[in-house]
Amino acid sequence: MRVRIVPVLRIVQIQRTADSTQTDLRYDIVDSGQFGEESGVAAVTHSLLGHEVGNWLAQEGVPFSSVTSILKELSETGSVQVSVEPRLGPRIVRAWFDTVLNPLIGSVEFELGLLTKRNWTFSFAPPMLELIRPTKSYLRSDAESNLEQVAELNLPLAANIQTHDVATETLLNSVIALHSALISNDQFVDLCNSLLAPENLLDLGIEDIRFVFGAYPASDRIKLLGQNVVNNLGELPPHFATAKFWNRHRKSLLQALAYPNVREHDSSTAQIAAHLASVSKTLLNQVKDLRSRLSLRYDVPYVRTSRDKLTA
Amino acid sequence: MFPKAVIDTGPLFSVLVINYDLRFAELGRSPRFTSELADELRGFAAQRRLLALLSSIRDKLTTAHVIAELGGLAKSRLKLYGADRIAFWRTSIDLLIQWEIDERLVRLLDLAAEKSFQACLPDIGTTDTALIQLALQHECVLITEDERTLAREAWRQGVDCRLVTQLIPLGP
Repeated sequence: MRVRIVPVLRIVQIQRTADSTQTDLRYDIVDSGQFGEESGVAAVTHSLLGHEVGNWLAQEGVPFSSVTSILKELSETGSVQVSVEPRLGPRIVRAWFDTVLNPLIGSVEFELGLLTKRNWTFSFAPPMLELIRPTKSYLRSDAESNLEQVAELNLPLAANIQTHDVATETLLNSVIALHSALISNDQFVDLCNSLLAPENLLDLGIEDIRFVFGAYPASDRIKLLGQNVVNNLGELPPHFATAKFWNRHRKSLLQALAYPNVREHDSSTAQIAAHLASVSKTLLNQVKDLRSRLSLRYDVPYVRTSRDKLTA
Repeated sequence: MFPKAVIDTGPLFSVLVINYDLRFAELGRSPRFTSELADELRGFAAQRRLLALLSSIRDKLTTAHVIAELGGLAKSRLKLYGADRIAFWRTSIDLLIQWEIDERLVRLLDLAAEKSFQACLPDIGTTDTALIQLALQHECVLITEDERTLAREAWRQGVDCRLVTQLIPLGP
């Protein structure tokens, strides 16, 4: 998914009140919201003193240093236009936490763990990385609009989501190329065929190749072993048919990643994964930072406990 | 333990859930769905025994009804979405292929024509009746977690029906 980046603006016009005097300076605040005054929904706060305008701006999240300069300009010119953060409420924040931010944090942390282990969770039919995917795939399908809303209000986050999603696609293409290079490598195919020779299987107590691959067709056998190699797979639990064979020959099969014409793809994949990991770390920090700021500002806990649900 | 067995939805779904959790544990995530398993399968040792037991059956038979029910259960009980749902199905399909699960189509029309099923078919439903029919046809064990409905009728029909609760302590 490409997240639509549309900055959401909330423009506030502050102007001297019509009947204000030099000894009693007062201001009106016209809060035109996202769509401007033309929409006819501008809220007006009347007749505030200078320090009250300052308090109002601070409450809207305008940094203290900016408040000072805004008030200075206001006293000099009589009016000023300020861009403030769109107004959120605790219900929106709650929905973001539950459907976007919390799931994203869990999934990206897990993704980083997989990248560290160099387990790309690749599967060959159809070619995909099962657990390293574009951001949208980490969320419930009905949460997509909430993700769009978060992105609209946070441009740096939106940009990084796009970078992340592009990087996952690049990694997928690289892993596909690596798998393809591996399974078409004569040395690897010869190694597999030799290890799968009936006499070698008998050494493992396996009477028939069928007991290694189950119902996988013969045409998929090398692809399946290649998939395990590409994923740097560890030992398999014994309830898998392939476990006995894989666990015995895992080390020699994994060495195929260093074969000529394969190692170039392997190291290129590792580089792409390192880039993705760096992007994902930034994304994780951004999402955690956003969650923290929203939580403190709107008094919304990260996770709703069952007690919260009862009192909601 | 058994050369051939018919497997009901409950045990099959349980092994897929255990397999998925195991795979995630290897990748560094703690088990998430233990609470979705029957009480006797909450322990790690029991889970391993069930996996070992079912994987040791040479011919694993089930019906198309059971395979269809798995999809509904994964949706309603695990509530997986996105990448996790894909990973669950990929992992499950991989295991079922490796196990050479033998999915048989048992037609409703054939069940309805069978005199011995005419009473139970409307009562226990197509899925359970088809499992009993398959076990009778292959003269093999039927494995289930459902004592109240399926096992009771299977025993009545003379099928060697085993409950997971009985098998787990005996597992390898």
